[in-house]
Amino acid sequence: MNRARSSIPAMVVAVLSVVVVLFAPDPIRIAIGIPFALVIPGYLLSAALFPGADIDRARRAMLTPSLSIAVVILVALPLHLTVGLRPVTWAVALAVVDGAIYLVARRRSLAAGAQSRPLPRFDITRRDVVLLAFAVVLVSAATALALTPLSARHVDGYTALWIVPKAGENTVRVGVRSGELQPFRYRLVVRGPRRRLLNRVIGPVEPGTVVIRTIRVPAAGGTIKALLYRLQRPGTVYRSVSITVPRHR
Amino acid sequence: MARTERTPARSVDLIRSYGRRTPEPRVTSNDGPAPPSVGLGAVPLLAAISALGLLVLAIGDARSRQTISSSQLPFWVGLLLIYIPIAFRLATARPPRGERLTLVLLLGLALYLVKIFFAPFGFLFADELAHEPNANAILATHHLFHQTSILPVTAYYPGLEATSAAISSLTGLTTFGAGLVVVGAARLIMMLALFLLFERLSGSAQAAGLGTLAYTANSNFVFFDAQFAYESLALPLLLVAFLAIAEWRVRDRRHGWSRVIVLMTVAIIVTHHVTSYALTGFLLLLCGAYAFLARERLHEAPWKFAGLATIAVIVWVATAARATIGYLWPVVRGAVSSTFHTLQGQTAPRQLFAASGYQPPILERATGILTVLLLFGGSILGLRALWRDHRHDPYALLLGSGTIAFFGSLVARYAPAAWETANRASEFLFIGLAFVVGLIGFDAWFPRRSRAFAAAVAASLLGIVFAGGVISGWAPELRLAQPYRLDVKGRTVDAEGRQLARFVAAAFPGRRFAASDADARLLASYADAWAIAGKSPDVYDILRSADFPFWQEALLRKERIHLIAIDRRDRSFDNTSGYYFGLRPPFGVPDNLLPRRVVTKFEDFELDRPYDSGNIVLFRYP
Repeated sequence: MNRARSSIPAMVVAVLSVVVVLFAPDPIRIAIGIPFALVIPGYLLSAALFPGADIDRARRAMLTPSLSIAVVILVALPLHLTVGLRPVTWAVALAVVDGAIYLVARRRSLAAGAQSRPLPRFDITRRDVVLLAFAVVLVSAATALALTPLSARHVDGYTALWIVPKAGENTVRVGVRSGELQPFRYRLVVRGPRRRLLNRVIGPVEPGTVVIRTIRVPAAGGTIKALLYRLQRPGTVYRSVSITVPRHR
Repeated sequence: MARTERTPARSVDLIRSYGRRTPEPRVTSNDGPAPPSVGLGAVPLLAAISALGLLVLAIGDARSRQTISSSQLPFWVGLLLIYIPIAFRLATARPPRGERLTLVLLLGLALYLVKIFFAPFGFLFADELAHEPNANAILATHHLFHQTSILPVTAYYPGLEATSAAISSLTGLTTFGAGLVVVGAARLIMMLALFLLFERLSGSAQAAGLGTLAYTANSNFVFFDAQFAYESLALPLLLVAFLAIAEWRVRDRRHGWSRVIVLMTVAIIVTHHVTSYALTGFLLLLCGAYAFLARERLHEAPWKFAGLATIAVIVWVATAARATIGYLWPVVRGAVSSTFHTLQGQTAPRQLFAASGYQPPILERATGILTVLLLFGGSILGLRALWRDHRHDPYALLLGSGTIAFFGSLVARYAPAAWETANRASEFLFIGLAFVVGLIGFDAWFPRRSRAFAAAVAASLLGIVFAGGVISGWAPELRLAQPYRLDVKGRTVDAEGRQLARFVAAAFPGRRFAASDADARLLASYADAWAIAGKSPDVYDILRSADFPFWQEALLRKERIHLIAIDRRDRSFDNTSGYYFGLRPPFGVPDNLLPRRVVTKFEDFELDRPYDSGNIVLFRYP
């Protein structure tokens, strides 16, 4: 096939990619967006720099992602200085650059009368297919295993207690998040400057969950202190937080 | 590789007529004869064996995350299942060029997955958590060069982060997902570029395959160079530039390759400081090599590219990245002075194999020492072959001289303040060493035995060198995945530092913190915090001392730090191992905790204390 003609699909994909990366759902954006950034600019540029069969397929395969990355880096600098690096500016800028490179590639290919190399015919046996399928299954299994959070027995769990004021109101939010390996019951005590604001048993708090209490605090403000006790050890403060809230107007 | 005597003239011809030695596919038009059919050779079988190795490795990682077993047997079995069969195939003379190329790509990809399986839920290497905030800042502000707290110099080299931000913007992937894609692409570029470079210089696809295989044995390849960090992208681009220079010298199509060199030079300069200096230095040395060794071929010397790279580096450092000098100079000065002090006996040499107090088994030590001896022996044989066949090629000689520099850098590993610099230099110097090792010509060994026997010996020796590289390059306790994200009764629970970052992201995003090294990185990455760690400024002592003297208060005020994250776990001050759940016997040693006073000292000052998770307590300084 003529090299100039072989660049046309890449240019069409580049134009369509602009629409896809801006409006399509994420899985399609991923499928299109990655080659849009890491393949098409470099492929077109390698076609412009080496029209026809100047270089072998391995060199073109190496130049495609590396030139793409160089183009992305070079496009980033003017975008930074002008309109910023946003999805729409990335998409439009890369498409414009792709278009410009395509025109150069087309002109040079036509001028050189360049021919692209024919694709080799792969002689794939049934054994090859079975082995490759087996490899895909094994890698998929390994990936799935790696991506699965697993349980562990011999680690230290933790419980996080926090307190933050609620903006614009004379209330605070007290949270208990469990990172323990089993459910626990707690007693949560919240004290204001002069009186106890809360004294309640909470739980059992399941691991990975959070319990939040919103507590009204005195309008005069002051230090609010929250103490967390585990019910198994009621005399020992397990966690302790405090915060100073301003006078409420 | 056949072992033949070549005259110097033939050597030059060999470089020029490379295309004839390993013929490229013939170009035909649509009307011409059909292209020849190509078999897949041993690729499917080796892909299946590599996949099996990855599964074994993932099982080892899973058992470690589950705190069932910390045995490293699955790690080594998995790793060697990936490496040895491919090494054996590449060492044989039979596979055609395409198969060799596919195999080195398979190897590079499989070893990249080893790193991904180690940390599949997010970036967990110290440098990754220094770069991730930059990429996040680009996505949030839509502009480059945003200062971040962990490694400020990285903001001036935004090549990796800009590329990742582009992928993230265009696809909707997170920074983590986009970063994995970019570094994965960089890994493939690296394998291709290494193979093609070695092939161009040696004229042999077999030597290229073995050289590329040998490069993966450098101590940083499996983990360090696979991380989301600027060097992981810049190094492959450097290899593309090296190849482009090699092609530019001998090809008719100089125009195209010269543009590739320029583009790569600019991309590298915007991506990583040391790599840009390595490229500039290499170009200048190559010009010098031509001037001394091949005056009659001075037109092949890359004068204009050396000039361009030098000027571009100076302009970039002077205009955009001035902080680089302040960042690199103390490191270089410390490394040089430490090496001299160690050589003069003023400083005790660093004890090898004693990282983080871990005493490796005798087998690991023996492998580490054997690796150096094998590399030394291999480099002698390779340098002989280099001199015999390529002594009239200044490029090949210069690249090969990296071997000598590599062994020189091993001396610096004994110097306490120089070992890291020497270790980081190895991925550059190893390019030359790997090229030289590829030239050895294993085929000529054992002439009375079968070629398969020679290939088996070569694969075994390379396997030992590969294992030695992994041993010397990465902390032993972190070869297997650690518990970071757990499943507890069907719900997901993250480690304590990550939970702190989640709270801060909701309650105090973008604030200034003092925190331990690991917590600071998590806060910067996940809570957009300006988190200061370490001794410059000295928040280290604020976080670890039992008292709170006036200078510490003054420092907090000077640095405008309003939140102090005290972490009693000593491990949290280690930026490689501080991110995981603490271990309990019998699986591991409990965390060494700092005295309670490091927390209670702030209670005397009645500071607000908005967060307490046991080991980590957050204080608010007014």
